[in-house]
Amino acid sequence: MEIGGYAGNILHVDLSTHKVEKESVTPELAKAFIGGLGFSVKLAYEHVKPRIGALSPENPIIIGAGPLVGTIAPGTSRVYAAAKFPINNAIAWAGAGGMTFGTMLKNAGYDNLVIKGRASKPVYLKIFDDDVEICDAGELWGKGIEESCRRVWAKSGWPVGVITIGQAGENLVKFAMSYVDNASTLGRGGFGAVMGSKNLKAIIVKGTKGVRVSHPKRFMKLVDSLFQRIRRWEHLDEWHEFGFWLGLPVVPREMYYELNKARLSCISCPISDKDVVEIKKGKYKGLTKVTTTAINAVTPSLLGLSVEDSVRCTGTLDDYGMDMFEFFSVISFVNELHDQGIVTDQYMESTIPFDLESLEKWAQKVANREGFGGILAEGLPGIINTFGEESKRFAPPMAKGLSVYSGPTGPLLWNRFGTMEFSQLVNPRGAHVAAGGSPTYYAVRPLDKFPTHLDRMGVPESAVERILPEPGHWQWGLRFGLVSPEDKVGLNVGRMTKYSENWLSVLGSLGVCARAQINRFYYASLLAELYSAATGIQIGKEELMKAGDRVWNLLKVANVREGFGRKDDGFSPRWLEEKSQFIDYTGKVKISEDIADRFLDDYYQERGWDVERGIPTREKLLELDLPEAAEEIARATF
Amino acid sequence: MEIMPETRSRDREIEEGESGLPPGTPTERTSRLSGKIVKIETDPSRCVGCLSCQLICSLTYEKVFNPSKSRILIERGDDGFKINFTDKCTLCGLCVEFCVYDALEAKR
Repeated sequence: MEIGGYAGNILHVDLSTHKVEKESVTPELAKAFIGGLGFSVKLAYEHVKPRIGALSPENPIIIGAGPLVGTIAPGTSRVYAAAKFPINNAIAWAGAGGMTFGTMLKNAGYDNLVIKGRASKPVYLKIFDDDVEICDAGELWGKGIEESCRRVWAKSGWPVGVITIGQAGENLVKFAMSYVDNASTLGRGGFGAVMGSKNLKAIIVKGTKGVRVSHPKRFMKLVDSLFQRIRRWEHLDEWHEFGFWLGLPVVPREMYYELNKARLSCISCPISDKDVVEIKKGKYKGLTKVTTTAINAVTPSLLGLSVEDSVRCTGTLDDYGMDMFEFFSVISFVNELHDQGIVTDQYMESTIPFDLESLEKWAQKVANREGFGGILAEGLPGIINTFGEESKRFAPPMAKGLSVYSGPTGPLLWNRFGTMEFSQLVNPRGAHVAAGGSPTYYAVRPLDKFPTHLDRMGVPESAVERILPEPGHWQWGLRFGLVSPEDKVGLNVGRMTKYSENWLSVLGSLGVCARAQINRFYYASLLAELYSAATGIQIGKEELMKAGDRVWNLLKVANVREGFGRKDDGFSPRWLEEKSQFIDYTGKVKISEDIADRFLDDYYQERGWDVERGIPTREKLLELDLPEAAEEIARATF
Repeated sequence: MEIMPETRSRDREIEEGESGLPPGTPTERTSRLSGKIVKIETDPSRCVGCLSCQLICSLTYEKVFNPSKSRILIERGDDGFKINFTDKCTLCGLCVEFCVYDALEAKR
């Protein structure tokens, strides 16, 4: 049965046996899990067998694009992936701007891919409409991301969509990512290594079948109005001029002009953020690089590199296909361990200086697992594993084995404790900020903006009162004497994070971009209308948000059976230590361990979970129509 | 349908006319131009490859979102994007109205 919006098929490929099978998307699956992220989580729950090795042939690579991907609804190109990630053995999701990949996947006739097994030699998977072929990748293996993409496009043309890995993925670096069309990144917890473990260098897709919607007139009426609002947005010109550069106000705007060469967009995006940057002076004059945003390319300059060296450095890391934040974290960690005498000269003669030459040398060692680089390639948990418990207290702030992005000691140097900070602790995949974002969220946004903001996200009124308690009346805190009356924590980020996660879950399942400057134009009832018009499956705002809740709960259950629970959601002590000066969102209260724990309690309670164990309850899962998961959780023994 | 509630301060969307754009949605504006366009001028340097033009064109004339069936075709090369039109283009102007990057301009 053909359902609008969906391509209608899930493609299963076994790289060991070369078996290729199609599974139909049923209306039941569509309604319950929406697509994209939701389908990927559902497929991960089914296909990631408990306790398998993340780099074993059994671990599936799951990639999907939601029902709005391939349409003209603004900013609907997202690609989502799921697998067991090697950095922390979590069943993780990953999302990326789909560039052309998502649209081409849908046009080829597939909503999702499930790739299992291990090829006997390097291969790439070619999916051109019904032509699905496992091809020899001998010429691509050993090449960087950019060269790999260039070769694919030289042979097959643009807009063929490409997901590829670099040398880091090939060599199973545990923070290797996959790259979409040489621009977007997918899975900093080692999704690239999962591809590498399968000898899968790349997936290339091209489609000519098109994406049909069930009610084109209804659908276009909604889209037309969205375009009108976007074109009239007072900041549109500014975003077109500077792109995501505006996302980090500490960097001067003039610098963007010095670097910018061109802008690239995902299909259907009205506020593009992918930059082509060019070094205009010095040793690397003329070097150009495609980056997920120019801001990323200059981030190391905030840590002391020159802008030119910074662009060159991130270019090198991107080309190897590994996560920049994790790379800098492991460097800083082993440097500290060397200072402490825990990493001895037998491993490295001196600390690694923060200069381009040293960083490039170590990037190569890590990507190719040369010498001590092989231990760095294991990520923060692997280093702790090698040097024992005494090394642990020197580790950078982490959540489930990944270094936290933001916060007083994070690379973004932010000291307010908002949902983007808190969500990193409870996210099943480990530290990652996207699930804590929301339509108009940005740090220090005044609290009077939140009621409207929460309304967009479909948060029920009763929950708004819990998220935004009256100043000075943090009821339970006062009642139990845990917070003094002077304390004014005006935004309960623990409770709000549930709704931020569900919002991301819905956006990701539909295929809408996670960036605030895109999803700020959407709101829950509009998303439900778009879904209904596209698919012909009538769904209301509450039902859609419930589907988002269902997806996140099932993701959690998949992780509970791997042994994850409240013990893994804890705060890294270094995130709370005195010098970090973490303060609550309104800037009034220093975040202590007590307050942090209360936020965790509130998060689990808002989710309807077992607060003590930090896992979904049987009742909650039954309420979400997940009977199988409910029985599984009832059997959980910790 | 729920009306977008927030219109305050930073989130304020500018009023009709203030944006320098003619009033109405892209489709409404296109219908007012029907039959009056003599040429669509292109500025490939402003194109970012979002393909919204190809999507609206294919939906309108082929009833499916399918970039390969569009009458306007974006190509990406080493030097950026190229914008071409097929012989079937009727100069309806929909692609112009759905290009938020102003890479297309309708000449009357």
